[in-house]
Amino acid sequence: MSTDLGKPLESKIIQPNHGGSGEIKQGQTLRIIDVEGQQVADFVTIKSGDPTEFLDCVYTNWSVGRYKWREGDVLCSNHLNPMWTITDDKTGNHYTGGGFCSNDARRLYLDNDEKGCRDTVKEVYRELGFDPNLVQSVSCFNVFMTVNYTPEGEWNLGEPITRAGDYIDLRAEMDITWIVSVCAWPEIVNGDKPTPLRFELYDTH
Amino acid sequence: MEERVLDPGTSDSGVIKHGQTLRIIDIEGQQVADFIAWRIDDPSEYQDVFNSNFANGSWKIGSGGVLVSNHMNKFWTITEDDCEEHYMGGGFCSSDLYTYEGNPPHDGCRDRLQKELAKYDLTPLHLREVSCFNIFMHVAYDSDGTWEIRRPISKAGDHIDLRAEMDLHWAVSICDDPWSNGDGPTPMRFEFYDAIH
Repeated sequence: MSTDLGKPLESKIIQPNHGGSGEIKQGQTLRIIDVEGQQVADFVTIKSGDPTEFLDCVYTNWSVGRYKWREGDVLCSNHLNPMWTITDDKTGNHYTGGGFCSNDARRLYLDNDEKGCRDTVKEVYRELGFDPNLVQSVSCFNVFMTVNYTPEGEWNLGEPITRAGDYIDLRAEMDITWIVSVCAWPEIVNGDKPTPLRFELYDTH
Repeated sequence: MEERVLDPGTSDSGVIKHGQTLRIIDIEGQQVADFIAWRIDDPSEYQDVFNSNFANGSWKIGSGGVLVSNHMNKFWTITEDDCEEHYMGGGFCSSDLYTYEGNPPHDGCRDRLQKELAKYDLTPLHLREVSCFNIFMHVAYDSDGTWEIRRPISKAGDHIDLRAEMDLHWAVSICDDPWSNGDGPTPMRFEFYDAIH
């Protein structure tokens, strides 16, 4: 069952290895749709126009008492102010530990010199007029990403469980600028094939 | 070569050269240190626990593990570790967190480390949450999704040895929050050794 949010105010498709951004007002909802399935978004949130207040995955883990976030959870900033509420979530499977892939990681682990999500997010910061040095790894909510944890310490990348059309709805709890890189890491983290994501903005006042 | 005892609620910082070892000793047990580092010739390259988890293939770190930078360069190798239970998720306690939990405002590790950075003319924005290695901090990631701070398992006299893999600035805040430090915050000792390991 999908939550009917009416007609989107805006809708955009972002291709893998590309960045994008948007403004959202308090009370509006952003729907992130995994168009073909098994695709990860490196999704960064800052207070509208202010990169010094950012989504803080660690403080959100603290405040919800879980590293597996789910419907109803409030995601908070480095000042513990509410930024988003998850109002609908088809998978409940995301990586909430922060961090990005990067050109550095690609050179080391893939032996190629392509950019990673951190580089893409920094490009978007520059386009928006923000200092790219202000990008904080802890502000990255890795939407639809599977990381396998065990209590014993295992940490490795897994395959996303999203199917085509699965989505997450985030209701803005303050005016927000969001920045995204649609991940193009080639291994199972994107189901072996990076694909586009759709971002839809709804008025849900 | 040098040793310093640091009380909870205080911070300190310094320089370590490639090949030297920093030994951090939990004198009375169950005490947490929020520990950061950055490259001596470039503050935009800093310790990155997320990348370190990636490099180690584990969110638990211990003897033989490495701490790498945001550029995946090796900062430290852990050459000895009596405890092997540390928190590798990044982040700090802060005055914001005290207030959020209903306590009076009180400097947290984030606030103290920002003051340490100021000694090197670095703005508070140079403090990255992902830089923090929470030594001896015990956070559980249970399979049901629980994220919970638990009592540290370090015993009196437990130590961890960090061998510097390049010339680094380091800074530390000895945590005095009421959530992470067992029955109450206690001091830690920092010892610096020339390349004996």
